[in-house]
Amino acid sequence: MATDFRTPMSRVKGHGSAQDGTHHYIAHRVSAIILAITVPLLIWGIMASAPGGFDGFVEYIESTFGALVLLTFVTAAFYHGRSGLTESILDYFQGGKRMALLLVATLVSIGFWLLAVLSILRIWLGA
Amino acid sequence: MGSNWNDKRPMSPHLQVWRWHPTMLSSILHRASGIALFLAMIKLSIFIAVLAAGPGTFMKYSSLFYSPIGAFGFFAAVGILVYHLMNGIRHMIWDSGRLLAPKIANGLSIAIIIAAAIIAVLLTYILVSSVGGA
Repeated sequence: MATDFRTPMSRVKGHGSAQDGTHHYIAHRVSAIILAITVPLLIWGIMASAPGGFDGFVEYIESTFGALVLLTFVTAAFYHGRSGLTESILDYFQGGKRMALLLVATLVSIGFWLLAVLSILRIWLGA
Repeated sequence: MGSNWNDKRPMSPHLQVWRWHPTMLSSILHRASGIALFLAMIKLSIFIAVLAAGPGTFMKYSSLFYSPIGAFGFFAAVGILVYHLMNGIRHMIWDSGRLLAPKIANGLSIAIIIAAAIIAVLLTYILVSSVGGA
């Protein structure tokens, strides 16, 4: 019995499911839930630290709670941001432009995530 | 691909043939705010890096952070963030099949935009007055 119902033309064009849509959908929402928890803590942290200037911000990151909130936030945020950018890029661009933009989104996300993580660890470890 | 398509009638619901309605506005704003927040994340990373570089580097830029531009940056980032957060929670409620009736969905769209603006104004006011008093 035939199990492949696709026409020869559709197979040649390569259209169809990439099989990873469910993973993208769930991962986007799981990271969203992590952000929904950490964003209020982050805003509160910034507002509580700002009056103290440099010392205020450093004190917040030197506390393990502050470092944990920030590390969790930047990790989830860059993951979620790259996931969302990927979605938009796939909607509006094709071909080489699409590939280039996807690559830029990935490299920028990883680069600035690492910058944030290293900076947080440097302050936290220096405490 | 669509270059030899001569039919003038719209093929699919493009923006220019749709009457604007609240859920459409909030859908576009959700995407735009998401992209804006990605740029804000880059700025936050740079801010933390400046912090990690030490007090000397921080003092060089602190007059910028503690200026009307800094306050406006906080206002814009927090407003966009709170909007995207509330709209995202609504999207997850929508995923469960709830609150999809047009009247409720449209009303919530407007309510979330207004609530985000109010929260951003309030938080910025609290921040600026607490920094000013320090």
